[in-house]
Amino acid sequence: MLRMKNISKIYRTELVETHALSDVNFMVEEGEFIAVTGPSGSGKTTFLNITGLLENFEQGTYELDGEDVSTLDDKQLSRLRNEKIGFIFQGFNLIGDLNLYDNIEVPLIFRGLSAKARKQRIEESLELVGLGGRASHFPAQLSGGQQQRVAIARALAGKPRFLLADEPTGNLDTLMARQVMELLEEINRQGTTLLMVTHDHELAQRAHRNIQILDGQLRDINKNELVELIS
Amino acid sequence: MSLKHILKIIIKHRNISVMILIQIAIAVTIVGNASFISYGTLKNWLIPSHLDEVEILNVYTKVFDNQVDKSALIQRDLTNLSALGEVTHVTYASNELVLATVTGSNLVYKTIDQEEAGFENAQFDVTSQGVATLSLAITQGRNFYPNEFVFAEASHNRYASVVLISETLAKSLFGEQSALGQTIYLQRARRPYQVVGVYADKMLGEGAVYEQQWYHSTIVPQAHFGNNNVNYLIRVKPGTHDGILKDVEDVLYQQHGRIVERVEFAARAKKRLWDGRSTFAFIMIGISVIAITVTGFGIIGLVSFSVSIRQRDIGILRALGASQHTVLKTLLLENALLAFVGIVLGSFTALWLNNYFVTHLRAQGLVEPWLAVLVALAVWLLSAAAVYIPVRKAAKIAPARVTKTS
Repeated sequence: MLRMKNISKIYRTELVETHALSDVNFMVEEGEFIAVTGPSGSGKTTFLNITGLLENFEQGTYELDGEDVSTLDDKQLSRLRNEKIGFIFQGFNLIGDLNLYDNIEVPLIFRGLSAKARKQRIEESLELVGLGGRASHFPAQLSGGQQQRVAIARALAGKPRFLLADEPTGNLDTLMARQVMELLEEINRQGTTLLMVTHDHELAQRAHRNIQILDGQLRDINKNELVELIS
Repeated sequence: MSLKHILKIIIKHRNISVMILIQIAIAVTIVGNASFISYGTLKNWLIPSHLDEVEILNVYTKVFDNQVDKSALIQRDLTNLSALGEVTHVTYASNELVLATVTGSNLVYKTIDQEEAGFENAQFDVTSQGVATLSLAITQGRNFYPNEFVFAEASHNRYASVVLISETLAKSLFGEQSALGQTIYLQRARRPYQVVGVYADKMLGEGAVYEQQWYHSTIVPQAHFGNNNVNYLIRVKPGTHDGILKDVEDVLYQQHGRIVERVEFAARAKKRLWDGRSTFAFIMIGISVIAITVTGFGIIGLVSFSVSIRQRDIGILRALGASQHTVLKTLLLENALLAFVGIVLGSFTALWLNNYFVTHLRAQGLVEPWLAVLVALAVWLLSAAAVYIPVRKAAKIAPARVTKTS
């Protein structure tokens, strides 16, 4: 469902060029759970941004569900992001001015769903993460773990094919982190492809596949070799 | 985002929202009134006077010597002024002069009923050559008979019994009915006069035009004397030069015990009147230009600030699937809502202020509905243009902004 070939990303300033990603080849099959680890500055965030269509790249090709994303304009990329990708961030990234219901509703409005369909999906997703009765609460009224569960509910309500999680337990205590991980694993078991960026090697071990980024290159830890495109 | 979400965000950020709203309301208030006053002034200026502005003179004198026999003085003045070569007619004017700013009680009533509000009226109290001096064209009825003129000491309380009225005033008072033979009541004392004639409209008095009632005038064949003001209306031959002003002054100074305050053509009186009013209008236009500039920059500043503290939220929207176009549309809609409320508030304030200006400051320019709509539209466009600059920048916030906190 996801295929990257020779992807490179270079950040340029007047004085220096930084190769954030170099000739990355990467492929994800439907239903996989992949953990991406790596030290700070290794290119994890850049990799996540490019995978989530949040950032563009200089070289290579990237196909998402058979669609070459390098040919798409901002409107088409936004639509693709909205329809196929769900995001879970370390900082939760909920809109503080809106209550939980509205936070989950916003991306569904971008999708063009009817009010009735939106309501059904919001209620279902909130129930799924155990926050069914708190739709009218604001993010600031919740704990970190609860906020992360709302972010998961928001991602799930869109019924994405691909869930991108950026350090999803980074801001949570151990108990909350375990609950969130169990939730993500459950979501993956139900068929959603999961790509998780994390510092935590213990969490990474729970994934089907474990990829490490080092100096802008991807390495399959299990095989201890550079990830090659499976053609 | 839906309207519901936008409204919630506006309420959450109410401090900035209220500031934007007030800016727009103030702009509408100032620009609205400036437009009404400027338009009113321009419109009034363009109304034809039908008056021979360069053939009629206003003469203001003051008698300071109480021993002077004013009746004799006036008779001598009329004789001496008539003797000037360029003068064709002259009348003593014991009430208004042409296009003079008169404040007071020159009202005309249809009935004696104290509850009736009456109409503003330019009332000309004249001697025998009054009608000729003003060159009035009588379209219905007749001119005054010689025996209908009253020339008397003011304290004697003798008044004429007949009156000539303008066509517009006749229509205001009696509609399609004939005014001839009808009784009207003048000034707050409501003294009765019978209408014996109606004359073609001329812009004679300014007391009336402050109330936006044009061509409302009456000619009364009565001339009272006794107070210190002794004024005249003079008609001169066409093409008479300004030298006549000095000649008139010299003639008047032949009589002792008085000073000549002003001798001027009606054209000069009119220009002075409109100069004063147009200055007010220009000041209002200047203030409105400043208001628009301040509002424009104010909105840019406030919206820039509003956007800057919401960068993260905008980044989240982008990550969740909002295109640049969607963000732009959402923020423009948000500010359009604020502008709408500001314009509504500003419009009400403008109406109130306009009423104050017209009532208390006697400014020209009642509310013109089409002009009010135009001002509202212009301010809305201005606010949209001002908002567009920071909002366009905000729409370009990269969706990757959301991962920066990681």
